[in-house]
Amino acid sequence: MKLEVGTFPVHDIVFGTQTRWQDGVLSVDKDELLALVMEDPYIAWADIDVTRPGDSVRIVQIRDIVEPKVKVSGPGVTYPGISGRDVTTVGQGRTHRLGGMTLIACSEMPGFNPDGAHWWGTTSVEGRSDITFIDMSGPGAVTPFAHTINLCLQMEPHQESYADDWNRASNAAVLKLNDRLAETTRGFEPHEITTYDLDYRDNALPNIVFVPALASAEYRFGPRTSLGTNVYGIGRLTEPWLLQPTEMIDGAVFGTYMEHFTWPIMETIVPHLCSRHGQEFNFVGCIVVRSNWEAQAEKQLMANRAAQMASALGANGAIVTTNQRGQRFVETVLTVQALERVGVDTVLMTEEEDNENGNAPPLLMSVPEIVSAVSTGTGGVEVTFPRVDRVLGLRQPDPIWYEEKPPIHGRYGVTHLHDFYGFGKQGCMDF
Amino acid sequence: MTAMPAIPLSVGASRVVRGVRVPHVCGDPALSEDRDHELRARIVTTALNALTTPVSTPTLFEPDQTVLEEVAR
Repeated sequence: MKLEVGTFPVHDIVFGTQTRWQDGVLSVDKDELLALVMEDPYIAWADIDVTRPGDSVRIVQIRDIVEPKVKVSGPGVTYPGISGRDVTTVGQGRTHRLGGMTLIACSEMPGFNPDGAHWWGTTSVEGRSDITFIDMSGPGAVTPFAHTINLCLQMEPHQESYADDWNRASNAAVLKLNDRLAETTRGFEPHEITTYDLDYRDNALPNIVFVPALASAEYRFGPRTSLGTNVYGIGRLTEPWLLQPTEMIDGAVFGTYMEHFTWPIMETIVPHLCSRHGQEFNFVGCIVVRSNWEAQAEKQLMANRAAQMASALGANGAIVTTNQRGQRFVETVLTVQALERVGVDTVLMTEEEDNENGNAPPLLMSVPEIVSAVSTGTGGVEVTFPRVDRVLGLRQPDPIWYEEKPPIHGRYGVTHLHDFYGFGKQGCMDF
Repeated sequence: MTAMPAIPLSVGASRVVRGVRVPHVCGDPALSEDRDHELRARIVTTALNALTTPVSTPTLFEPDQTVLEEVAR
């Protein structure tokens, strides 16, 4: 597949009377965008704000983070399959992106589905500092989103909403804004065009695959749920998906699983490997392993199938990532093992567990086949987060959200950073 | 007793009994009541037998077999 990605840099976002991109400034008509969002009867309240790097702002209650993208030629739509969008195969033609900015959706998350038995978990534990929030300035501004201009869409569901209904509504709202904002670039020549020609192969170079293990929400919400990370809108536990890297750049993998957002899986390893395709290696595919299978034999089978796919693609090397600790990590480790056993040199890239002052192993599970690994830290941010002037994400934030927050010690289950793809700004000395 | 024997074996646990699945380690709600009871008894009996079995390396005990499987670390 061959995909051109045209970048339109965004140096600032301002509110104005019309929505347009011009000379690096994205002007947005707030009333127009809010009217689009409020078309949906599930949404009781919405507001839009802009944050810039260096602002004394804390963003809380984050539901998802995406980069605005639109297909201007070639089949399909960006972020396919989500909330009823077309499932035509993407990854070809030309995609325009608004660079240097993100679209962040914030809302409370209803905890339950109609059967009442399944709890999504909550992101609204007032005052807890270890859950996900983004500080735009200060020593705790270590996420990539502290260094981008962010358009924050804040929403509130009707009180009676269920988790799955609300997820569909908030995803649809995010993608309406994505489409509207990125559409402003249609008809203009991009500032910069990057061409990913994955049809070209240099047979003298090794073949590389990217194998992200992505947790499925099926075990909790059933096979038809919209919740969690989806592939073309499907989140259920399936055998591994084979995707072209350019499909991932167009948003074939989308959705938030707990605090794992869309942006990190799309905008880190995949475009980086694409940019080196044909020069240092051939990037021959992405194999998405769904994790959260409940029996070890099932996990083993999925690992075996991923290894068979890599083998059939002629892969010589693989980068394996994970996105959730606990039993989800078993699929990841078994996949590394299976790949090594079919002769694919594999590197595991993951966050580490807290080593409890040297008393605990850095990985939940280890096998001799893990011969090379890249650590992306422990998830800890060992600094004090200073008091902020503004809090975005809620209609009436609890005063506790403005206060100074204590350092976050990396430990099992800490969700503040969730850097499984190496996007953080911290070095090894910080951990 | 665990649905994921690979984890305790990799950290060197002495005796590991394979359970059923993560949400129901010691039984299977998909089975009839009688079959489920039989399975539960088999798993627990395997665990009790494991406790009285001397081991020198991490060892996996399979409830559906009476033989022991030595697992290299």
